Amino acid sequence: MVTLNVSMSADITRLARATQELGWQTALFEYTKTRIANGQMPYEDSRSSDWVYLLNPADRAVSLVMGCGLGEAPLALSRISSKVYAADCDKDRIAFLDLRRQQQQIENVAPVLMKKNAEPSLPAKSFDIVSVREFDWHPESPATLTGVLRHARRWLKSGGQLHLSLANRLVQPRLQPSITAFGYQGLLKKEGFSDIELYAPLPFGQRAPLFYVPLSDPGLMNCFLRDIFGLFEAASPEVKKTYALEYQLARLGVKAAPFFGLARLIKYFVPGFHVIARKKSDVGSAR
Amino acid sequence: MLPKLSERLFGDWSRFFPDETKPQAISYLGIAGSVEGGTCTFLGFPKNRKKPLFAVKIHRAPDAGGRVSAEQEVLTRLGLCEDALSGPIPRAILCQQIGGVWMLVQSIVAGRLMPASLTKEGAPDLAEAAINFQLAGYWLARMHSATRHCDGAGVAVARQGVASDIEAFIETFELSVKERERVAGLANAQRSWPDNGLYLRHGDFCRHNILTGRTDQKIGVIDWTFGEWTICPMDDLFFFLSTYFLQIREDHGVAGLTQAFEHTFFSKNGYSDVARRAIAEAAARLGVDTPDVRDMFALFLINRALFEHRQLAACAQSGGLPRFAVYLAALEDNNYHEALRSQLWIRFFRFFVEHEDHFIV
Repeated sequence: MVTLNVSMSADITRLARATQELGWQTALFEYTKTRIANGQMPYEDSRSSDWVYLLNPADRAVSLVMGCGLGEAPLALSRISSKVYAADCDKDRIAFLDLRRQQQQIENVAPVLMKKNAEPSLPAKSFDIVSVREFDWHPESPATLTGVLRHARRWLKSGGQLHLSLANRLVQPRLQPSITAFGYQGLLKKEGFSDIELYAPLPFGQRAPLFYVPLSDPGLMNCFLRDIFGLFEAASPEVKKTYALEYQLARLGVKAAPFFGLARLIKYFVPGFHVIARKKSDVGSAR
Repeated sequence: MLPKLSERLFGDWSRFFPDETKPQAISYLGIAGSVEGGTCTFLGFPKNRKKPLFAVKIHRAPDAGGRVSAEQEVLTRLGLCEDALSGPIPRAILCQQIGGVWMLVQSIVAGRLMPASLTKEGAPDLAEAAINFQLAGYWLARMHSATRHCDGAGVAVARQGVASDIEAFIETFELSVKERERVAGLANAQRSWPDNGLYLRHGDFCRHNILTGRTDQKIGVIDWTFGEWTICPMDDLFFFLSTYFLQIREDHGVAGLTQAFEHTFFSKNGYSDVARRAIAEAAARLGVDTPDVRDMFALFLINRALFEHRQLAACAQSGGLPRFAVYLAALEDNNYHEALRSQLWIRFFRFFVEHEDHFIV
């Protein structure tokens, strides 16, 4: 039903092994150093989980993260939750997170190893927050995206919040189905979610965005393009070099936007979305 | 947490924003601050308003209460003398821990990042740099004269802090004999500096935190996270000059960083001459002698190296070393422990000791 993005799994195996031998700090440092030496950005850092501040968690919230990455999202949620369950079907990621949380003495994070290609068996109506990250835990067919939403809805308590980190399929055509921001909103409404807010992580997408821009208001987007996006010039020359193409495209987009009224269209071109939605009450709901 | 903040603001709207009609809703636009800085900022846009009404600085660390309160105090102190400054600073509106997260709500300072461009040869544009240095120097002079105060006990504590930093620097970094001798000399030198009271130090006074107007010559200074009282009044100017070229350079890696530092402070060129004039003017205004300028510069580098080391150590504890530290380590294939101690400012300190005879002042 759901499958793991395994592009980095060999590296993660090495990372988990090194964590056991050297500790999480040294192991993560060596892992990130190798990525940077190969011209890549770090897999994630604290900026990747700044979306947590957009949530409105209940007191003593219980959270669930589907796709634990290298731990940033579960650990960020652990600061605003009484308990965080971090589920993944990659045993090495789970092993890394488990060692990391032990070594950091974080007691309210519980890693959960899921079975690959099996129905996730988690208790219904148990979570105040469910976060699903497509990069680490993505549906493999159109049917499964809906399936993830249905699972999340079942796991959430009434009024609980769903966070989705998704790619924009219009700019990443290898990902299917081809679905727009409006499409995501429609799908969420259909599956029993309300208060839907979409944010664009810019300019890089999910890894370490410099901006989280709400897509609901074209006026706000105009202000962002006119007055705020220039801040990305503050990035170091090294980061600009790594993301040279993205920077060029972003700069062109910002220059062209005022002339062609692109603020309304920008949601079609952003690299991805962070979606926050609330589960409607079960009473009277279709599902 | 931000929805809870909105509720808090709505609950007492007329006190927080007496001149603004209460909106139906607030949207938040996030600006992720650096990993090292440990904060992110969200701009609050009331519904149907085209510009942000306030900024919320959020500290990622749960134990940041002390830092948030300190920044609020600094902003309050600056607010008392805003008329004497040559440009706006943010006003603290609300400082509170909401949902376990420390937040400081501040007013918006309008403007755009201080512009800085490179010539075809890859050096900073001289005319633009001259104007920017003058603006920055003038603003610092106004800020110093508005906030400097005599506080015998405070000065004694600050002097002790400098001495402790020197000791910590020697313990933290592996220094050559020449470097140790230079540091030891500083410990004595700072005791002989005249007691001019305490100065407010911004702590991150670089182009990224300086906003300029489109028409007037006023600058606004934001992000007072690291604001504190000091006996070293030239630190902000040194930081501004050190980072000006660094931030816009085209050459990458350690060579590019060192070259920018050298071009600013050690080689003879038009740009270093503009930097030298900015330092000389500030020194004359503050009554600092030339040998003391050098000592203050050395102490500034020591202070930055320690500050960066402590920041890296804190990052390492919570989420791992930030990208730039790992990048520097990757260039030289340093291990984790070497990476913690092999950062930008210790390199600059070493360069300074090695080339002090060529220092521009």
